[in-house]
Amino acid sequence: MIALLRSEFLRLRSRRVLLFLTALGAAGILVGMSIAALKSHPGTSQQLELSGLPDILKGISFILIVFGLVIGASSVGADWQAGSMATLLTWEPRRTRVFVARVVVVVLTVFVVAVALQALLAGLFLLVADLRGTTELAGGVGKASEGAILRVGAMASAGSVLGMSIAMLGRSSTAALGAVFVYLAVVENLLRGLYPGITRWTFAVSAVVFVDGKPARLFNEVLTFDRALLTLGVYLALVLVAGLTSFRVRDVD
Amino acid sequence: MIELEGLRKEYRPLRGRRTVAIDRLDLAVPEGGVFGFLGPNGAGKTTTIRCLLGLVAATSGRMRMLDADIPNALPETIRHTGSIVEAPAMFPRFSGRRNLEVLGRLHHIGARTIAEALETVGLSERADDRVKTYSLGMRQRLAIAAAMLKDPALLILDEPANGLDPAGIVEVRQLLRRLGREGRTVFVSSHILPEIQQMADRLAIIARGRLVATGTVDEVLASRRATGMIVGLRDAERGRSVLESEGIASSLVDGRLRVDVPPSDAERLSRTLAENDLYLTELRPDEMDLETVFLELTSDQPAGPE
Repeated sequence: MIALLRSEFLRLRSRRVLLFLTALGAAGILVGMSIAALKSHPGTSQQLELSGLPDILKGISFILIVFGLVIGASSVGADWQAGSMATLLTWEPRRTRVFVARVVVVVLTVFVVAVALQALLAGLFLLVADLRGTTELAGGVGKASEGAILRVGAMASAGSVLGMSIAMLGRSSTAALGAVFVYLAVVENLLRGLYPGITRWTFAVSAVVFVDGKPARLFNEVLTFDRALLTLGVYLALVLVAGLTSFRVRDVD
Repeated sequence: MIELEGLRKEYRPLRGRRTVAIDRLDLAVPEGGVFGFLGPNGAGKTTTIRCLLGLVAATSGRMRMLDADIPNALPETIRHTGSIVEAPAMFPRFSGRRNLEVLGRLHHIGARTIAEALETVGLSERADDRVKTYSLGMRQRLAIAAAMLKDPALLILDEPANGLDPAGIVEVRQLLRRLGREGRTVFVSSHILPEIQQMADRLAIIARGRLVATGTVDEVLASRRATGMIVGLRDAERGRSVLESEGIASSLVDGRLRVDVPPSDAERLSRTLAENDLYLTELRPDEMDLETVFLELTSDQPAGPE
């Protein structure tokens, strides 16, 4: 299993999409913080406040979840498209192992990259706030930011699991990304509109509550963090099982 | 080395008719040497190879490879099996070397072995270029290098000469022969009949998913040829009369005589003619080439069950 994990890690870190998106993310953070530094005027209402960091981190969570989704979907879809899944299986025919190894490597990599990018953002934010803004009223911001970074990292990893599993079902990155966006943007919205009571069971709302780290009021009830976590877990378990089952039983032509 | 008993593979699409790709295929591939696996397009060659490698699940039948039941023992047997299935499939955006490194890590194969494999197939100079810049022949060479990485006892190669130029085909042929002589078993599917005829020690021909002939090349050729000799004479008509008077049947074909005696009777035949002042200008067995046998065998097959 170690050999398989090493191989999968080499495969993933050699992929240009991972390197490109990571570099793009880092460049975006540098540019964004440079602009923030230029626009921040100490002592005025436009100064950058360190206390706003946790909200900024939660605000970029969508980008990192999409990053995880793209990395996850392409890590499987590219193999099917190139036909290299068949080549891989002539070296390691135990499909469950292959699937599990890939999930582990992609989830860990996405988590590390997401956390690293947020750490870069937090570091620059702290620097800019210290030099050209204010660090006052920032009590507890460190702990809140750490929590947000970990939750956003975990949610980005969850996005990668979603992307991988659906790409395994459809054997295509594009189909997987399309299916996820259609489900989240159209199907869940439609369901929430038709049956408001279902809102607490939807993926998107649970993800928002998870990233926020605190309960949310939905109509006349409260969606707790634990319940959101459970809902997300059920969704991920279902798509994982579906992806693995499809991989195990379908022929590789 | 490879044994198939009653192997059957059906495809059952959700809509449309089921198709039988392999129909009760029996096959025995002995250890060592090159074994040719011949068949026209759609005969079931690639499906058979995919079943052996666990890529598709057989509907029924029994498979053994390297003295172990397949697919149960595949994780162990695959360690000693190198393979190419249909078109060589590697990551186009990775270099040739990186593709081999990713695979090599699965079996703890180091950089030196990878460099040697690339050298063997003549890809050392382009090893660090992306595979998407390779020609089809270079991709095929890379796939052969990948198949060789595990130093396999059994090589299963699906059309390994695809896309290679004539020089490349000769190189691959020599490589496979050498591997066969080393005691490895090389199971090679192809539709290029002269290649198989020159390279294989034994062969099997399948059509519509069924085995139609197997054995050494000579045995397969003999299975379809009537015993006979081709005789060239200045006066073929008189020769025919002389042979007829000796009770030997013959017929005129393109100015030569086709005589219905086995090659072992060549001495008697030449003596009989010489005693009648008829001297040979040509004497050879009436042989069919593999292509003719292949076409006859595969066109004889009735349609497979649907």
